[in-house]
Amino acid sequence: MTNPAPIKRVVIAGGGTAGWMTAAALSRFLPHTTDIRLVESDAIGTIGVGEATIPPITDFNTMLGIDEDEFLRETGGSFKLGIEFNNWGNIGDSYFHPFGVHGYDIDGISFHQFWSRLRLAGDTQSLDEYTIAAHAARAARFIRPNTTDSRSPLSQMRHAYHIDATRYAAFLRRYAESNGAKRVEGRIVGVDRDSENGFLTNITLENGDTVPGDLFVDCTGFRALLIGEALGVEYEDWRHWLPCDRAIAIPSASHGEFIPYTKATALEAGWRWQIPLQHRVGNGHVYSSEYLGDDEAASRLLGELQSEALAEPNFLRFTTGRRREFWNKNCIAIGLSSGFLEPLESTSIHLIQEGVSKLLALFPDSGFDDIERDTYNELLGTTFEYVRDFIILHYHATQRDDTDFWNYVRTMDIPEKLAGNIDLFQRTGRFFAHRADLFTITSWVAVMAGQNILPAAYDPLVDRLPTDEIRATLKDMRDVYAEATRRMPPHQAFIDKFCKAEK
Amino acid sequence: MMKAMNSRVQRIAIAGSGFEAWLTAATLAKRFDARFMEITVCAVDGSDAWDELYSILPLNPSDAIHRLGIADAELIRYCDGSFSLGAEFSGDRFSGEHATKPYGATGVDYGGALFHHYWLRNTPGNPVSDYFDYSPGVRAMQKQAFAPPAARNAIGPLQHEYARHTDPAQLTGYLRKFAIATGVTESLSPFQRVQRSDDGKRIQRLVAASGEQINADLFIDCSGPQQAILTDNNKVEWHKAPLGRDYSLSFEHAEHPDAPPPWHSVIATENGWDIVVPGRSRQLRYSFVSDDETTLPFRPGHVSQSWDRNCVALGHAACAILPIEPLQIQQLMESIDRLVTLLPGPDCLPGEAVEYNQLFQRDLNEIHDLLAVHELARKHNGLGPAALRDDAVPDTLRRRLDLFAKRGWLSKTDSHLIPMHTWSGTFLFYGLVPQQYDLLAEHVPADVLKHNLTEMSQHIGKIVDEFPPLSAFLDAARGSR
Repeated sequence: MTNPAPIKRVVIAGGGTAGWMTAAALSRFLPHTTDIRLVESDAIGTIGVGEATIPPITDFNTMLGIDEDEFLRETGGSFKLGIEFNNWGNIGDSYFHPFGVHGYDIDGISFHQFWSRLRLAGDTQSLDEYTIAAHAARAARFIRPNTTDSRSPLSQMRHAYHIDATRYAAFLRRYAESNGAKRVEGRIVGVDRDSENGFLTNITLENGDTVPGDLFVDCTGFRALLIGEALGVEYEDWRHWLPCDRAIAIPSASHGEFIPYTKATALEAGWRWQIPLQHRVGNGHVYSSEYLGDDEAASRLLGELQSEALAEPNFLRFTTGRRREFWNKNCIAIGLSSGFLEPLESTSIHLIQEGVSKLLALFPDSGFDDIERDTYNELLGTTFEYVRDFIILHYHATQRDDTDFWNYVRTMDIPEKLAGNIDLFQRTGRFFAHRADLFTITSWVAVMAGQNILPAAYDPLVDRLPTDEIRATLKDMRDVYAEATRRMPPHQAFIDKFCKAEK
Repeated sequence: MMKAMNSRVQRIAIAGSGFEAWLTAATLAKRFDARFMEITVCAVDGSDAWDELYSILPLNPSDAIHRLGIADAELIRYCDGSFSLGAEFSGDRFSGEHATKPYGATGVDYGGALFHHYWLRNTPGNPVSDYFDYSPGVRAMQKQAFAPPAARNAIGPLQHEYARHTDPAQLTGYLRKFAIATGVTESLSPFQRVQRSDDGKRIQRLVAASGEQINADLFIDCSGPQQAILTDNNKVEWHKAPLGRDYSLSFEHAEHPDAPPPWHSVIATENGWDIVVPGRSRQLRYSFVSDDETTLPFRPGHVSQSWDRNCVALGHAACAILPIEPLQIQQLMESIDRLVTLLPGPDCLPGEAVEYNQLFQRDLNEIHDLLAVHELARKHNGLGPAALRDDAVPDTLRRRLDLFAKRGWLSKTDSHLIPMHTWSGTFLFYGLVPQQYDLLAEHVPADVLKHNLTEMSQHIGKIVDEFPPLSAFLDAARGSR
């Protein structure tokens, strides 16, 4: 028996963030004999998903050998330490979902259990006061993590980036092309399949050229030309849990303090994002068309802008959900063609990264092993579902009853596992993180507590320490975080010194 | 001010007389303040029948013995303790070969890829023994030397792991004294029956042969395979381990012929397994034989639910794990730790039990798959093509085997009990060498990788050269206080 031949030709259909992240990673790790072609058309705009990222993006850059300062210079980017959520539990509420952790665990017991005990004893400090990320973010300061001394509060720093998605795609294009990937200009008008096994064989361009391949990566966005149109893989619709289906994006001029965090502010039928870049601010309004008209949504967003708009609003439509299979035959969907979850937790680029890294880990040969495909589909499916549940939590864990939209999401049925997690946390203060879940216990506790799901009890082991001792220890933690923050440079100064973009 | 509502069980009754019961009692008494919690151990005749299977105690971060504050030196002094760095496998079923399999990782994972991918890339076609040269444990076993892990003998992030060998009866006695001194009550009259609530759903008390009644909110069944109170509480179903055969089990204690080696021996025989665990002065042999009905029956498997209403089964009442790997003790310690974390309120609402049972099931699935690898290798003299084609391989394991054989892939799991390096180490140990390595291993230039691996191997050699012979280490540790 001979082993199946290796894949010789990879065709990536579509550019944008997904296409060029895939091309960059494949060109870095596949043998140089593999022909990698990315087909895109200058005539088709890209959506540029996600201008905000989460900390695993740093792993992707490390994997590719990308220097952080160069990356930020080239993408006009800024640092991000978390997300500030406003008006989610009740109008007027505000909390911070930090990168990193809350406080320090004591004797193996999660920090939040000690916080819960003090809260139940009447103390009023919010969880935000126990994270270096929230301290630094609100002071608009930044410094890189201390990776050599675990005793330093700076060892708890985790960061991600805000980036200009168009510049990011261009940056990755330069990277991929310098590693041998080839760009083919043209609009895709057809996809050919093998008459016997149904595998994709070529894509046809408007000018009549064909691009043959052994493996195809569908990065054609919502159109899903390969995985959806050609192969007929169905889409699972999650709008009953996540009813927002429209977004409007508009850039505005930079203004005020250069903050190292994203803002997500709940509105009447959705929410609004603000993402600070070096050369502008990204703004957007995500909403449900069932509860709000496009014109009304646009005027709401424009009315909230705090500086001059730099372009016309860009209207987007989407259906939250996932492709039932991400890998079908010899086609793998990455990016919006694989599924869409609104950018509330900045997961779009991460889901691309997951798709690319799992593709690399399970990269097939021409035999296209069923087990490898099934494993890929299972891993990505689980990732999508954990992220979905975390986003549903933000909508469902609300006390708002001021609009029909909030009444719907507050009272809707939610996935059973999520309901169980909320119930256990509320009753006992316990939460069990699972390895496949992108979000850690810090994230879940930040959102639940931030949106007023507060535990009625705490871990009984906490009772071994006297209340006053816990109170003193937690005060020390707050003081240490505050002092460490005072010593950090302003975010603006840090960017100016190390990674200032040319314009 | 809000009122704290931190109600929890106030009275716990533990049914059992052996190692499981006293380890559980000592841990609960130490972790919770026994002044505010009533913990009673109710003797159950015969519940220590399998205690000998706890003679190997691997050290891990959640080690219950260390958490009690019991140092290794105490175990050496009072429990005929010795140390082990892994297992030596031998026997007719493995073509008469002797090979050692270490505790802990081999090599160092980095750059997003597991170490075996770098090894494969650097030394294609090399024998598997070359892979284990990157294990400090194996290198120390070759010299019969031992030293515990310490900052000074770490090789970067690489650190060897070890286990303690003890006499379980002596250790149980030690734990019993410890628990009673910490506030645990012992009821000496043996358990006779369970008395339940009127609706039959909850256990209310244990009734001893003397008529003494032990009332509690939560009941823990540590009665071993007889499942004295769990079976009385519900109709538990026993899930047989895949590829696990029914065995008969016998024990034999003997004087040690020589100084103890720093390993335990696993001998694969035509009919089962022999496992020899050397203590400091004596050794214990347990034999699992598949065609002998004269000794204790041992059926590898687990119950469908180990926590039902207000009754939790721990240890052999919940699962029987073939001790080729010392996983029974790890599962027990993990379960006690989990019970501490999930200790319910007096009403024992189902939320905690549901979570506990899910985690229990998840761990047991992993454990049974790993032990199925050993059974498969024993059956086929390793993990060659015939083993991979064996119809009895469960689907979850088949997927693991196929993906590892083809590309060295290992899926991450939530179970803490079996880390990734145990899977890769076991597969490679039995000769399953991946055809390809992970593309991420390409991120290091070939010459740099060769240099790094050579340096790592040399460094391991230098560190291990400083380890004393195990016998010398034991003498020194025994004398120290």
